[in-house]
Amino acid sequence: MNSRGYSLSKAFLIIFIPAALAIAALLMFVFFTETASEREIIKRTESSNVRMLKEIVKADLHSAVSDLMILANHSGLKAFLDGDTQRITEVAADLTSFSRRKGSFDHIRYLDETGMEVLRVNYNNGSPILVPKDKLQNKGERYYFLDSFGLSPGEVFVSPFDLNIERGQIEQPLKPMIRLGTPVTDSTGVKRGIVLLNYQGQKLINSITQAHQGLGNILLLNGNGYFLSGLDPADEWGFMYEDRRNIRFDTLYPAAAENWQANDFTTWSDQNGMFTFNRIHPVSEADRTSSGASNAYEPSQSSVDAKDYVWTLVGFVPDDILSAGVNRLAVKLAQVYSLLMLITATGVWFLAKARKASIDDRTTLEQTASELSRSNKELEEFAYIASHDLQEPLRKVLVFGERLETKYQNELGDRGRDYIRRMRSAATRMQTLINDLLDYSRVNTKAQPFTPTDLTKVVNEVLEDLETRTSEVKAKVEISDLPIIDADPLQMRQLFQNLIGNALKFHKPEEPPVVKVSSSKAEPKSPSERIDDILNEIIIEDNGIGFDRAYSERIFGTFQRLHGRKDYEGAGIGLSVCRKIVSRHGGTITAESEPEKGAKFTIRLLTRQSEEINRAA
Amino acid sequence: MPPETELITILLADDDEEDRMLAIEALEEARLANEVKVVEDGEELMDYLHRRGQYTDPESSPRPGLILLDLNMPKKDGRQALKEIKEVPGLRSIPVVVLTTSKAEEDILRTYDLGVNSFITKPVSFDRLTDIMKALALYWCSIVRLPN
Repeated sequence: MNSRGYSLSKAFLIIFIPAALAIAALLMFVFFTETASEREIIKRTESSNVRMLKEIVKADLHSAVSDLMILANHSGLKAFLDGDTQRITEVAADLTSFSRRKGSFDHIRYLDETGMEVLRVNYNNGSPILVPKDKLQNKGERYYFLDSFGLSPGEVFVSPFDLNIERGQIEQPLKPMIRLGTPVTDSTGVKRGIVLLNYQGQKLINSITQAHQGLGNILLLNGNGYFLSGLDPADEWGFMYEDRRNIRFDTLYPAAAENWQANDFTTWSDQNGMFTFNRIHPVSEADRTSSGASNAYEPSQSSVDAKDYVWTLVGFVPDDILSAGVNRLAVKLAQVYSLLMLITATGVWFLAKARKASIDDRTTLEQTASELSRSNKELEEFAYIASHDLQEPLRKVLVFGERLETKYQNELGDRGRDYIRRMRSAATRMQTLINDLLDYSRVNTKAQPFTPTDLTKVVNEVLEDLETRTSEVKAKVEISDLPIIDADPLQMRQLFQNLIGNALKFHKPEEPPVVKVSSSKAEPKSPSERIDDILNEIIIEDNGIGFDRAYSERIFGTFQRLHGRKDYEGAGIGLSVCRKIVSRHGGTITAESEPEKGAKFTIRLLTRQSEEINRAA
Repeated sequence: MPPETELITILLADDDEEDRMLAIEALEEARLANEVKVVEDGEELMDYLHRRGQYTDPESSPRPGLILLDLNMPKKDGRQALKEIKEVPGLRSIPVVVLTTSKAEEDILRTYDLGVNSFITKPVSFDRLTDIMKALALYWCSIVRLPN
């Protein structure tokens, strides 16, 4: 099979490799667009998530500030400050129930103008208690008292978000805390102290983490980049511990931090993952804040404007989560690829088989055709050479027969001479046969290229050659306009010589032959006859003995004779030569006749011959 | 025959014994008294003409006045021999009549353009052959005075 130069595996690979590459390219494209779009989806989800969380943070703080303002304007408290000391019980009861209902405030306090706690309700894990008088303390030195009391009525102090400190120590368990304070005035407008709320920061952090719908984690950073809520509790509240001062977002993720610091809202991706930053200004414009103090009894280090009080929400999707999606997609696509490869391989296999089969068929066909044409040519050459060499002994038979007949006629006697005569007659017949065979094989072996040939001229030359016979039988030959066509002139001559010769030969004994040679343009009978050329129909008609319609095809075969040798000479090869010549010219020859009604031969030939036929000749 | 006529030697080159026999018989029948020398292939022909081998004696191998040459011979065929004859100045003037068996052969040979003086298609009839020999003798051996 391989000797044909086209193996099945080659046929397979020729189709399969490009197909495999094309599918791989397609899936790569799908992979990259899918990955990019998944990234985009994550990015949008993260963005909308941090936006939502920002609103929650703001709403929570806003609600705390509202609570503070309601308490600062409590009518009972105002009456108490105006001198109605009885009202203190009512205020205490209100604060206690407020504490229970709200559940957000660790302490709710009223401190007088000296910083002394007058009322203090401890949340006490949902069972608020009013701290007895003897347990109340003076907080006059604390920054949150000083900062709050220094404000104008209606202004709000918001402490930094930090951890509660009890007796100089960070309270354990950790108690994230935001203190909100505002001055309280009596009915004359004089500041008489402050209302102070210890807002439970954990609740804020919890509400963020609970509402968080992002893919990864939510981080909360303060203005300095310290983690208020981080991935690891050990990273949190770095500013509260001496040994954690360096644990900040910008020290852990410097590249992301750089990007974040320049923008209020931005997304950053690097090898750590995807960060979605959203800066929050939780304190409204009218409120005041301070940077707080790291030690319990120090004044606040500086006062900070509301616009500088900044937190940042960071939606963080770690790289492993991001790449998990990508990996899942890759695995899925790999599966799809394998499946497609399997299907393609199967399909291509059958395709390759079919293709190879068709190529093999074609090769076989071509080989057969060329073998056929070669063997045909060899046969014709053989016939030519053979008939040539056959002539030689025959000639001797004839010549020595003649010598015998002339030199020894007396010795031979009548019978001997008759034998010799018959012998010579048979040899002559055989010579005719061989000559005719030679003519037949010459149609292809001695073919000349096609040249424009004037058939009128050809027929006239034939008539000159046949002059003797024409006059012998008193024949009349009529020629009407014949075309000029691309043909082998010698073969055309032979064609007309045979046909006109036949017409002269097979004439009725009592009637001189009339032969008509005419031509007309014909309509193509089948699609194989080209219509872009002129199709000539050349007709040779006679008034001779004709033949039975049944023989109209058989007469074109080699050595086919319809008459005995006694009546008409010939080897029965003339018409097969005619057909062979016409075939070589791409035309057809047919015959019509009835006994005693003459014969009509129709030749259909094109005016032009294609280059291909010419070359083949 | 006119008195100035010399009888020339005819050299017949043909491998076919019967053809040689017929040719000689035809010459006899034509009553030609010319001496006929016979060679059987192209090599012998060239040896004869160049007086080589068995043909060194000018008495027994006289220079021919006419060569009757068959084309299909063994060893060296007629075409090759003809070509060589026409290349040698001393031999070029000897007329060569080619014996062929067909018109086709004649056509082929013509294309060589080797200066053949005449063609004889080997006839089927002995009478024809005799006629041809007569005509040849008349033309080449009697009327034309051949150079010696």
